[in-house]
Amino acid sequence: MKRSVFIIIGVVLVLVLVSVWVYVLFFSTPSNGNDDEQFGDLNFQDTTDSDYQEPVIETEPEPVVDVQANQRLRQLTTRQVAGYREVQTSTSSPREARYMEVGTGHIYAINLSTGEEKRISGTTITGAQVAEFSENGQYVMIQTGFGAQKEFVVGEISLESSTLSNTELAEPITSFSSTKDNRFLYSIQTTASTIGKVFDPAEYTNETLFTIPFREASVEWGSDITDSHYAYPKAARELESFLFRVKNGVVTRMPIDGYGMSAIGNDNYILYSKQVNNEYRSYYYDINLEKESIAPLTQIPEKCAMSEGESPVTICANTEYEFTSLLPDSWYKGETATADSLWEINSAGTRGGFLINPELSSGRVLNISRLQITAGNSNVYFTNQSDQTLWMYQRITADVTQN
Amino acid sequence: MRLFFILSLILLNTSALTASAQISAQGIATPELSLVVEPDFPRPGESVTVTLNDYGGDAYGSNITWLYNGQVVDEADNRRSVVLTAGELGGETKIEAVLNKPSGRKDVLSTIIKPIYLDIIIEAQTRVPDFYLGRALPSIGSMVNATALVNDGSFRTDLVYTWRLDRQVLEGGPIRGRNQVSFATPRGDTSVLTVQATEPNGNVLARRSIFVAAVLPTISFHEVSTLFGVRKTPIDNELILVGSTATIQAEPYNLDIRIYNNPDIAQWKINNSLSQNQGGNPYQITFQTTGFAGPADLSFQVRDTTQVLQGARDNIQVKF
Repeated sequence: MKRSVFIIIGVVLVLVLVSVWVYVLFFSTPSNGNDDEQFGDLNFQDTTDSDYQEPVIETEPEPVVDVQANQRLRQLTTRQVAGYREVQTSTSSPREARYMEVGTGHIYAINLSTGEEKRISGTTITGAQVAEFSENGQYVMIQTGFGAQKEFVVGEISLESSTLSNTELAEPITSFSSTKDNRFLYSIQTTASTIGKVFDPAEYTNETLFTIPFREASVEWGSDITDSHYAYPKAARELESFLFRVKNGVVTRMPIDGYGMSAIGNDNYILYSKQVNNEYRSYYYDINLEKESIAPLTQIPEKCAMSEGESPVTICANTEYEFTSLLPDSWYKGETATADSLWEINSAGTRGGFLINPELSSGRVLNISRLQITAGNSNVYFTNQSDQTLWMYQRITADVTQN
Repeated sequence: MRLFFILSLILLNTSALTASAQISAQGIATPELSLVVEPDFPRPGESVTVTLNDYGGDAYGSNITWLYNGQVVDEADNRRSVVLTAGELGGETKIEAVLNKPSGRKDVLSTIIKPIYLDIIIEAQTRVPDFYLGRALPSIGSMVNATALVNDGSFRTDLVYTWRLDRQVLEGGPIRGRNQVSFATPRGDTSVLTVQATEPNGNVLARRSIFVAAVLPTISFHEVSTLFGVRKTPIDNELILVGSTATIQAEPYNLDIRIYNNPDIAQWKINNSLSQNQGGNPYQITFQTTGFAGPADLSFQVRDTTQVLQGARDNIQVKF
């Protein structure tokens, strides 16, 4: 083939391609109406009108807690929780779990019917570590910081705005708890004693309830001023502790003592554990019968909650520890590997019933602490000490198919 | 005059003989037949062993009957000792041993048990983290406050206390109303602290001895978050660093508070090199990976240079 023929064919092809390009440039239309797919976004603003307002798109609040799933054990938060309480602000309103976030002091409420969460206080309480809500959820007592930086405030949650109005308590507080009538019980340290007091956040008044003649006291508060409160020198496996009961201001030495002894109790029963011959053992004490019996579980009392009322129960988080000779110190230090299950002990402390193994039901290994049993013994709340998240176990449910 | 001297000599001789007779009766001689209670000052409801001590063989061949508040203890017939339960707080229990001798003579020995609480509370002036639920333990050289609480039905505040640490009497002797005492933890694993509470008339109400164990201070390491504060769960040997920085806090356990507040040595080392961390808190270090590669050994030491046992050292691995 001649060279001129190649040149002619090449020129024709170039002309055809140029014609197609010109046609597509001026006459072609997009195959669909989505301009974004055809043209790059160069990020120019849509308007220069300063009065223009972005339209607000109303969306349904996303539930953070799955209440539809058929689970009795639920993780309620991913945030670290300083304190919590299940409250019902009025008879017509649904029950909600209020909690305070560690560090920020922000308060959230989880609607237990819908699973929705909303922030009810955005006031920042820097370094919030421990919080205790009043029974009606209106007040909250807060510890910020640790050691020498420790401070205490009582906040009132505003119903109108998501803020917290705070009152500082300038006392060396060592422990605190709320009462059924929305007051706060707390203990302070003096040079040689521990003093129990009550603070009324509505009146800003306080009153002394009792004095215990030692400083390093653990106080297990009752749920009302007139309930039994228990105090003992803080537990240590190398040191002996003695249990004192405070009822109506009178301090009584209970026939309970021992190395590494710690206890919880109500008006009728005491659950306590101690070291006996290098073995950690648990006991139940019936106050009315003055009778002691071996508890059905070997149990760290701080991992239990005892309810009150007509049919009280004790709910405990229990792990079968391989070695118990270092308890309770090793658990206090966070050195004991823990994979807790929930157990229920009857009021007399004679029978223990298995409730749930969180590892099997949720796949999570939990180190359960700070348990609370709600009124009617229907729900059990607790925190996982490893990450301080809040969990709930539905103890009483109408749906028998739940697991 | 001679008569006066003779009378004086006779009188002196007689009084000297009387004194030696008194010592013999009260201090040196032991009753040959007696009941011994162990423990000698039991708590309410505590098991008590009452033993018949017969050093002279007076009870030989006797039929022994034990009575508990007048009731015969059947299972203890002809036994030298009996194990009983002390009664309630504030109550009295009478224990009798009736010896019917082969000669037909009957001897009755008795003792009264009055249960009492004498509790000794040990509060070591050593440091543990504020979030730790337990009690601080004594370490060698640290101060210890001991409190005695006597309760025989009511808390007693009118008593005289004699404190003894091992063989040394504290506070120079008995002190009235001072149910608290402070002492420095002696060297050695354990020491024995004894307190005796007596009524103002000299009657011994209770006595109790306890072991006071001395431990070595230890250190645990905790992550610190600017927002959340100190993480209560300690770092378990190794920390996997997420990001390029981390703040670590060393938390001494059972270190003398005085040493904690004013340590002679408080050193952080990274891979055996002294850290130049100059923050305000000697127990905290902010760890940065700049210039490093691979895992690092992070160690901390706190120590007193005069009391070398008042100190601790530990380390963790930081992986990044």
